[in-house]
Amino acid sequence: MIILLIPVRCFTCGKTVAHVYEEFVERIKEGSEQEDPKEVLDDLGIKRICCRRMLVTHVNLVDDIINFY
Amino acid sequence: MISVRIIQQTPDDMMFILSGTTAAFANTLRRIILSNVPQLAIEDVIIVENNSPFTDEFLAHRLGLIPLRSDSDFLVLPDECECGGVGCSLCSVTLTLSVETADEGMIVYTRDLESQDPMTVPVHQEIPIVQLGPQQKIILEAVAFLGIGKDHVKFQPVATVGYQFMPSITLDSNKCSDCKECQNACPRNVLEVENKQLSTRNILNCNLCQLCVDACEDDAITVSGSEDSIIFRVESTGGIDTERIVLKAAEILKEQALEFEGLLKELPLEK
Repeated sequence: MIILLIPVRCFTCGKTVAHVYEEFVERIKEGSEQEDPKEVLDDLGIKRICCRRMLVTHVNLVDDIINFY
Repeated sequence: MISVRIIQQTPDDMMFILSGTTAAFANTLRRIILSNVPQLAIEDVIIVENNSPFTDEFLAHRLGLIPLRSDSDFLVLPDECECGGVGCSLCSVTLTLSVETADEGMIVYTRDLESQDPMTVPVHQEIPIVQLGPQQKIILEAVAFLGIGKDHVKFQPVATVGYQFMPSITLDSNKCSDCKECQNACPRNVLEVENKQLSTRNILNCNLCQLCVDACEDDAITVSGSEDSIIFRVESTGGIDTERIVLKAAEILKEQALEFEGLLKELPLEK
């Protein structure tokens, strides 16, 4: 299955993760203010490995497919 | 006699120590929190128009998982409502979403949901629901009901809830040879060795992994869980405060026990 948008909740524990996704991506973006993803996740309150992988491994495919609709 | 000592408490996180009880009781409490404490979530979605790249069922699923916060205590479970679960103002809240894009696409967030009841709003305002391209439109009506975790996880008031035995660590500094192996082995940094003096800091972090016991060659450490003292942790999704979740669970447990007692009394027991 292809996950187009960031899932609302963590698959394993059910914690809401979608609301921090954009801030996470913004803060780890390459540039002068780039931060360590590990510290960003800690700061956002995403502590467990199950929730962390939701954010770390997500590829936002909507951005690619939206042009064909 | 059960006693409760709160260690840490915020609306989203709570940790307390239950003592004078058994793991069976803590587990009962955990299971009631998971499956019987009512929480509000979107159950019915009426889609009027949707020409976004996402299917109707995808949208409905995402809407369902959004945690809703309701500060009004008047809502009742649909099964217990006078309307019989059809959805009246006593048991349901309607939220509407209507967005249209012109020449540029946009992301639709939970903040775009308009609630009929200002007291009932999504917990987080920044959850992306869908992404729209140019000239696309979504009009829908979502009806939220109270429900229980037994029926669907979206009705679960907590993300995680769990317990562990209270660690009891005995240290014998006389046997210590100051090798510091135990200190290095501990993944939670509980142990401290200084001049052959063993000590613990923040014992609640210990997860009873026994790595320090295995690392210590002098048998100076024993780690065990004390059976009548339990560390209980509750983490809310934000819909209901943790304190209310635990109180509600206790209330439900009492109700169930009373109901069971009543049923037992009706039985023709042999004497």
